[in-house]
Amino acid sequence: MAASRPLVTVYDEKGQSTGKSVVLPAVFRAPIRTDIVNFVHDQMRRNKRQAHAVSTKAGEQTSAESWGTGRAVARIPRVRGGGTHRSGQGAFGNMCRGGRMYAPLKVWRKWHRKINLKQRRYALVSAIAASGVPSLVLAKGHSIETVPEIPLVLTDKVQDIKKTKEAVAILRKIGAWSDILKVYASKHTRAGKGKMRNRRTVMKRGPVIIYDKDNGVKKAFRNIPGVSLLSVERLNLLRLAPGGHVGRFVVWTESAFKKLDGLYGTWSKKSQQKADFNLPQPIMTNSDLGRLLKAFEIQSVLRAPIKRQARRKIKKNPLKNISLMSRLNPYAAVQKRSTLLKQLKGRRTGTTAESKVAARKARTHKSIRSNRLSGVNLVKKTSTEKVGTTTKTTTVATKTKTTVATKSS
Amino acid sequence: MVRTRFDQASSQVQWMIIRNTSSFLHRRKLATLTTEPNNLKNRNTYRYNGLIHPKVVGVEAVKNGNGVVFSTGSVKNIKKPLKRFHKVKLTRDSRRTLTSIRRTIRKQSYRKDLKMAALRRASALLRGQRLAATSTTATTTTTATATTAGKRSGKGAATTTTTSS
Repeated sequence: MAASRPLVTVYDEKGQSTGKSVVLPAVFRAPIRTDIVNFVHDQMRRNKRQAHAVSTKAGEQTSAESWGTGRAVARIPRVRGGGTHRSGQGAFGNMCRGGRMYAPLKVWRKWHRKINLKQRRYALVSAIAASGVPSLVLAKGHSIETVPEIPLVLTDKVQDIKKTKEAVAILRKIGAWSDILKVYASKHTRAGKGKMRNRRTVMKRGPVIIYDKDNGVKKAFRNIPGVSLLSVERLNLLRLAPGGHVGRFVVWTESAFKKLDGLYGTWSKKSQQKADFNLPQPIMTNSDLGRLLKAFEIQSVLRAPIKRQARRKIKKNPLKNISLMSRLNPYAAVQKRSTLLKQLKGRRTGTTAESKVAARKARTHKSIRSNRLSGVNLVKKTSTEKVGTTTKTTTVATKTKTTVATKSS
Repeated sequence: MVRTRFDQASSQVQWMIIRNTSSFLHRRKLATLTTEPNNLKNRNTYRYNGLIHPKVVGVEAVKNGNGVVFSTGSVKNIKKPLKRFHKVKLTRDSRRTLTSIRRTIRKQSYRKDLKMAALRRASALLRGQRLAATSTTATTTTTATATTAGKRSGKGAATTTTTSS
């Protein structure tokens, strides 16, 4: 089981890899449930709230009474007595000046939220898992392009440093300084009243250092803007998923990293430190859709893909479209032709008996021959000539065309 | 049920997380765009995303100079951001740049679906550089022209300060 999990190299304070490596704790394979993280984060955020309320007496410290009807004034309770501006003014209502507000805030509002233990742990585990995915850390906005490896594990020497100068040097060497620079760049004054309530500046979050034993780490790193410090034993979702979004840049110390398996368990072994806890089961063991679709087990059961697209067919009207009609009724073409001919037959084409005779006479061998030969070069001309006269001759013209073609070939 | 084969969430899972929440996302009235590196069209889609996939193609302009940086993601080093990208500076003429990109993608069969997108992006970047060069020579002053070709708007504007003709 350990062989299937990859090894993570440990880096020293100079950013160089020591020879050592640690097996990736199973937490990093836990399902990443951003919805649970968001919900739990939302609930947890309410737990630091301090109660606030409006004074119970506010707006009620009058003995006002309504004047009733018939006095040409609104029926709101009015302040008794006289001799001051206040007399006769409306009181008590939320709409009145100096009146009590609508639904005065009470201290006994439910400020804190209970969250189910399982949910809390699930969220935490998801947040840790997400911190091991470089794309999620990048998407969160951290600059980790210069970091040697994700998850980033440093030697335990880091836990012993006492000076902030050393801390800065370490961050520089491991390539985390660009993230801190981002924090510096993001410092600005808060919008809103928080400015005057001791919350003047706002800035981004940088990396979080997770340690096992605090031999000075906390004090060394805490003055660097953006950096958070966490002990492995007490991981905080509000720090691991700030804003409710997963993927904070985490720097682990070696002993902290090694403790994770004992804290959260592997699937085959329960957690040793949390009562009755094991990592949540993913819904899909294999979520790589690409591989699934190519897998033999699935491909062998699929039917062949239908590649031919059935395009929209425009329905044409057979009554208008003769080729469609003859597809449906082959005799239709014959019918149409015969009717056409009949129509032509009966038409007055201007050919009388005499003109017919004359035409027959003109149809000498010579004339026919010359017409045929003239069709070689003057195909168009002959057709236009013929078209001017009867329809019968148009067919003749086409005939010459074809004959010319055969002759030339 | 240990996920034995993959050492991190699959690209599908990552996409489901990133598609709506990402520091690179810019949702605007006209379109949703992303400014993550190695997104060839700056489009917020699974295919074009530059963070999720092990195999990734990126084309960016060379800062303060001419040419294009062509980066491909190394599949081995997904977890090692320092070694993740193999970047090549292509500073010769555009024909060579484009053929280099085209051949790398085609011969290695490395994200062939991104081939045209990579070529177009490189072409647009190079064109912008060419235009910037000619405009500065025309005015004979060294100006930092922030040409906003559509493809370049997401990144810092490439500044061509000197022209040596």
